[in-house]
Amino acid sequence: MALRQRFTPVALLGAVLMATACTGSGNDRDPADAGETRQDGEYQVNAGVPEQYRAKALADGKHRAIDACGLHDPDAAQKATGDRGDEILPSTSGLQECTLRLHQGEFKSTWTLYLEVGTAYDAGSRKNDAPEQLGGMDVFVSEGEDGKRCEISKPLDDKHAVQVRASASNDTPAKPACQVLREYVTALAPVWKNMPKHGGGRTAPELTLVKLDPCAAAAATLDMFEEGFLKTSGPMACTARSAKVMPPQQKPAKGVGQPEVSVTWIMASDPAKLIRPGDNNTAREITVEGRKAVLSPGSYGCSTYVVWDDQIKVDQDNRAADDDLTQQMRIQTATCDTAEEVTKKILARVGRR
Amino acid sequence: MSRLTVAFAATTLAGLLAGCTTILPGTPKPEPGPSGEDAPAAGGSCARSTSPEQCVEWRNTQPKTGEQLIAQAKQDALITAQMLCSAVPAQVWDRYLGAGHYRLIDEGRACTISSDDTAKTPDGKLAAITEIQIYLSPTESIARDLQILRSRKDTAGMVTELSLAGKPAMRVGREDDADGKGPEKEELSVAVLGDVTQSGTLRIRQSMRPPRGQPAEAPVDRSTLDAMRDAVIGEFLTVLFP
Repeated sequence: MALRQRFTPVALLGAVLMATACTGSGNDRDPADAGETRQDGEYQVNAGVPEQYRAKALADGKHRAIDACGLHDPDAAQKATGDRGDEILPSTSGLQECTLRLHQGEFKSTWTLYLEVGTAYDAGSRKNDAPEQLGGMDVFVSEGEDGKRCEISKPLDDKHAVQVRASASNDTPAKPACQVLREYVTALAPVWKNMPKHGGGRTAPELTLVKLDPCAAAAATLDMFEEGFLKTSGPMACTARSAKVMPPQQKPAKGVGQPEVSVTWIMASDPAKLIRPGDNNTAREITVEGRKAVLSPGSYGCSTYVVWDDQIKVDQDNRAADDDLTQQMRIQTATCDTAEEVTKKILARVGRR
Repeated sequence: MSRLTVAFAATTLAGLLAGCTTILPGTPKPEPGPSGEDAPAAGGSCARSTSPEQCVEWRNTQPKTGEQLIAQAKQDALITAQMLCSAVPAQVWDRYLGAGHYRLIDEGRACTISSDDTAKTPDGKLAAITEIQIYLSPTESIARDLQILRSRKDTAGMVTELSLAGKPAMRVGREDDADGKGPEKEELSVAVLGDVTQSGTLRIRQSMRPPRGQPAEAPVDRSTLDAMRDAVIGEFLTVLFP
């Protein structure tokens, strides 16, 4: 029976998680297989990542363990805005993002609080933003032009941060965005000082896909590339491509993407909805290693969506009924011609049930 | 009916963070520069650079002058940048940039002198930031620049010839460099030997940008920049190319 999470207005249960260091975690389980990541700060960078990208991959791997939705607190957001919590969801862009929406009633949205873990944030960014202390934390504040937007970044290391952005839904918010966000982040400080980890109990359902290293998945396709290598592009994404310098090519044909394989962990609605019955040019469904996958051609290549766990579903309030979200692998390839082979290689490596 | 769709079990933790206060580049509380002293800031200033890995700390270096400085620039761009950074004493920069200014060498060849980007106005808000970048090109001439810039439609209207401290100079600017919205800029090149056809060009960019945390295009009062522009050029030329 599927676990379908529903209406739960912020039960603060007061669980305690022990932490020993900035990047530490209470979770001491070992990797179950080659693709699973330790979450105790000893993340192993995949051998396919070359030296110049290993520091970034190491940082991304550590940040993948942080529970983005766990860094929100709907109760604190309600206090900061004066409005009611509406919806909190991991992102369709990647599981490193989580969005909390607030409102004053149905169809009366007020604020959206976007949060991202491990976003690029270097010395140049820090130099532009205003240094402040909120709740005892050193953070950097960036104001929007109209009082409707504000961004606060808390560095995780010298190149990455947790970033939360407040965006007002109407032109004349009751409070300036930065006032709302300062109050919110101040209230979040005790949580942010010990970043909650996936599986630590702060959010439910647990997103089990994050235990898997996306580079372990992408590595399964390295033999398809001459001098293939891996590169991460965030905590939940890794790309396999060739290191061989190719001669300049003509503009690729419409619908053909880069000659590479990119994998990203996302939360999305049923990919079968991409299929239009009777149209052979649209998406098609396959089953690989017992998992449902949908191949969907697009303007810039092919996206394949693999449902990772169809038993854990998250209800999204602001959508049509029966449009639950599941954890999915999004696999992007140059065309759909190779997508099935790529998907089989990846799932054979990391997706066996 | 609305609903929150992910349940939360709070983990309220406090005070378990020993050793979590590493100072990062661009740190919220950098050491201010040594006003009134010609010495680098304690702990260095490169932490305040946009590219700390390409930054070299400023060290007070007796500058050469005239042709000797141009010859030095042909041999060693870094030492030349240190000399440019050392040319004008701290008391003078205190006057133009305020207390707490700092100096550093970007990318091994350009000297940057900046106002304190953590300085506050009397009402407690962060102040706008004024910055001077200076670089000596030993091989380029203004005549060459003028020829290239005036030959192109998109740049011909951006060039102005002028005289600064008695030397021929060239200003290159776009409309939005002086529109009262950040960043405001004055990009000047000076023919240091007094002849636009001779190699040896001092490139000086003076800029102002909104306080940290403000939108990049927030309003900037450029009267400070207008008031200091020629005077700053004069300070450098008096020492380096008397």
